[in-house]
Amino acid sequence: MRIVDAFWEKRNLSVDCVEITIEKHDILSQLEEICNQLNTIDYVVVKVPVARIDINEYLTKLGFVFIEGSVNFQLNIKDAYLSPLQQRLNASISYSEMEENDLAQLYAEIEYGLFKTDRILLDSYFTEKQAAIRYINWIKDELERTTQAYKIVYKEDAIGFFTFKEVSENTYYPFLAGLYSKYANSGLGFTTLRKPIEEVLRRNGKLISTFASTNNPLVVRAHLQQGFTIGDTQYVYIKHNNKKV
Amino acid sequence: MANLKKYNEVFKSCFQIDETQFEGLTYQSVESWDSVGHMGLIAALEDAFDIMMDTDDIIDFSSYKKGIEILKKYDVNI
Repeated sequence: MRIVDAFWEKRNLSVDCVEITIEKHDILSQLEEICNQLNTIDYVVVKVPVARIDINEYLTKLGFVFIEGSVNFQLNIKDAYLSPLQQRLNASISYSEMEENDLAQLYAEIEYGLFKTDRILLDSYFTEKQAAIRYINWIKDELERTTQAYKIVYKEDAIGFFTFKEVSENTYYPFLAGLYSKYANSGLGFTTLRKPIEEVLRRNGKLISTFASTNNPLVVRAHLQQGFTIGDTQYVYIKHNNKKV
Repeated sequence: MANLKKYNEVFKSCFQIDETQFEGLTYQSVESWDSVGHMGLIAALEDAFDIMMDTDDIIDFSSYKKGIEILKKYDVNI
């Protein structure tokens, strides 16, 4: 079991937050002991591996709410697939590392509502603005470390973006990606998965490991279409101990 | 009339819908018309009418009705 004081959520969401990740061989009594000490924490997140019904039942009894499944997708680059039509379109779309003005555009798109299915936005306890600020802060924090952000470009117009970082040797994690509002209905969403693959190829990498929420079946389907396979899945439960009045 | 029938058949087969849903049908108004479904739709229309659409037209193809206008550019009258 991993227990993390998610102190950054104080800045993002104005709540004290603890995130607990249950591992496969953890026993229920360990979680019971911890949960008894968390009644004063504003926001508790518990990530549970599949088929741990004992833990699911326990969390439900305590008033936790199931908010999403988090699916790990993996791709060995040699298995990447694009249909002939996608290959044709992809050839006219490029990507490049973002500069300051590109980041400003990205942050504006996030504030406008780029992400619609994340567990913060879908949680009635939080606001759209808080969810957007959380994403922007997350990207800014990551850019201070080893992450790069890229814009996806069609005819000199940025149509979307992806973030990109190496998580272990030859393995990359494009942890956020999306199409900008003007292109939301263009059918070009596949490029937000494809361009990170091309960046892995450029760096002579081998694998991509990333996550998608079950609240976003469109993204789940897009990963499967391009050759990703499913790794682990976690069920995510949340509880607010300080209810809004 | 033959073109209309072909056009409708492509939509029915790609999105598993029936003709009563064509009115007001737009991108993402049914679950199956997402990014993956859009690629399937365009590929099927290109096959059915033996055309190759420009990228701009593929991007603009945002509804059942809009598609009829776009196909006129390729001498496909529906």
